[in-house]
Formats: sequence, C-alpha cells, structure tokens
Amino acid sequence: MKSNNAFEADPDIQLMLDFANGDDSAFNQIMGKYKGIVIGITRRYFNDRSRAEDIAQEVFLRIYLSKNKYKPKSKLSTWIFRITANLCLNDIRSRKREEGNLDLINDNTSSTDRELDIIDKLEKEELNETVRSALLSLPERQRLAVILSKYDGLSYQEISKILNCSISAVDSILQRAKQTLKKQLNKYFKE
Amino acid sequence: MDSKCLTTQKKLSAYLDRQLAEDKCREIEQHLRQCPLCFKEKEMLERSWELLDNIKSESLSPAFESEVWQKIYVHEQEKNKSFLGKILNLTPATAAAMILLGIISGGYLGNELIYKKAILNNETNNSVAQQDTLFYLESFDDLPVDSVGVVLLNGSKKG
Repeated sequence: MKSNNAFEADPDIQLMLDFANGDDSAFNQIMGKYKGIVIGITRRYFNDRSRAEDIAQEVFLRIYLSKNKYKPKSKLSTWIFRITANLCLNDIRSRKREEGNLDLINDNTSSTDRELDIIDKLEKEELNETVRSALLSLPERQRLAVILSKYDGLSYQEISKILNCSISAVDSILQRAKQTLKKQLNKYFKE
Repeated sequence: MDSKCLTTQKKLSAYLDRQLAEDKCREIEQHLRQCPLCFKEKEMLERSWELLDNIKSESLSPAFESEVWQKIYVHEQEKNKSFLGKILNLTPATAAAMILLGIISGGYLGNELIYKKAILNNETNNSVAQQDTLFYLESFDDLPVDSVGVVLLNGSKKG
C-alpha cells in the first residue's frame, strides 16, 4: 500500500505503512531511528531515569498498537514527537494528582571519569545540577517547548503541531520559559 | 524603556531562535546596535540558553528494544486473556439465556428435520399401499371377464 497524500515524500511514512501491512522489520527500523530522539526528550523532561525510559518504551508500544488505524496526516517524526509529548504531559499530570506535589529535584548527577581538578569538578557538577533543576522547574508545556526547540532543533511551526497550539502561542511559551531560565541562571553568566 | 525596546524584547526569543522574517531581524539588529539595555537582555537570554547544553542526554540502555518487544508481548497476552475471561465469566443470567436459546434452536431444527422426514416417509408408504391394493384386487381373478367385478377392477387400475 502506498501513501498518496502530501507526505508521500517522507520515507518514514512508507516504513510505517509497510509495518501496517504486516512487516515487523519496518517497526524495528522506526524504533532504531527514533529511540535516541525519544529518550533524549524524556530523559531531559524527567529527572528519574527509569521513568524516562518507561515513557520512551511506552511511545513505541503506542506506535505498535496504532498500526491498524494509522493514517498519515503529518510527517512521521511530528507524529512520534506528539505521542512523546502527550505521554510526558499526561504522566506529570497523573503523578501530580496521585502525589499532590512533585519532587523534581531528587536525582544525583552521575559521576564522570574525567580527570579534573576536584574544585572545578564540583563547580561543574553544581552547574549541571542547577541547570537541570532550572529546566525541571519550568511548567510542563514550557519545559517541553524548550526541549523540542533547544535539543531537537524544531521550528515554532513544528512545535505548534506537536503541542497542538498556534505558532504565536509557541513564541509566547518560549519567551516565558527563557525569562525564567535567565532569572535562575544569571549568576553563572561570565561578565 | 520605550515602546521600541518593549517591542524588540518581545521578539528577542524568536529572533534568537531564527524564527523571524529577514526584515524583522534587520529591524531588531539595528535597534540592538543602538540600545545597550536591549543588547544586554539579548546577551543574557543567549547565555542562559547556551547553559542548557550542559544537560546531556544519557546513553540508551542496550536492552531498550527488547524491553519494548516485551511490553508488546505482555500487552497482547493480556488482550487475549481479557477476551477469554469475558467468555468464561458470563453472569448466571447471561448463561441461562444462552442455554434457553440453545434449547429453542435445537428444538426448532430437530422438529423441522423430523417433520420433513415423516412427510417423506408417508408419501413413500402411500405409494406402496396403493400398489398393494392393486395387487390384491388383481388377485381376485375368479370373476368373469365382463362381470361388474372386472369392470370395477379395471376402473381402480386406471385411478
């Protein structure tokens, strides 16, 4: 079965259609191509590594279960980003309802094997921890928008499709996020 | 801060993300050359954005793909169990209704089959009986040829 709409040029869509037609190796190809990107989002979104991996795995489970009803309406990457974003947002919301508050800052930065001066190393660790905390302190949609823009290099238009909002809304979300980050991180700015 | 500064600072985020049209970018750059306040704001936004580079994505677990397939397998197993469970866990009322339906259906079908077979058998028996009657009548052969008995016999053969 061939796609005959505007996204015909996207080879990843053809992979998904092949998978929908019963070719499980196409699903493996999709997973191989996108697992890094998906875990990149979830790992930066969640402080807890195991939760980040769980959510990332859930993304591919959802893709697998969608095969019988898949209809290409956007680039495959946009669709996968959207699934990832929805799972991240829904997970945070359901945990907030269960726990009442959210302890986001409970992870220790993993040690590195680099040979650094101990003070320099501690400063770097403090910086990493502070930057991670600043990102995690952002409201969910701002955090997601920052991750998609900064680490995935997506345009405002692509982010608007993923977050299901207007381009001007994305601009507004990122403006607020950057103002918050600036306030939290300004002591690290070198003069 | 004048209105030009306010307008510029509202667009700084999109400008830094290269999401503005060229003419808008030129306007902003021109203002930044002239306004130290907005220039400083732009610098601070840029630096805090660059600091996010310190957050690295950690490497993927090597078992990631096999764990995904495991999740898929478990999901399929649960789906099958759920279907079987629905069949086996019928409520007593539903089970009674199904049994009653089975009895009625069986009775109807059985009746149809037996009735039709009986009709068929009856037709066959009638045919045999008629032949027997003719045989017995034919056996009554001590009548004279032109007697009433013979006339009657010939009439029944034609019937």
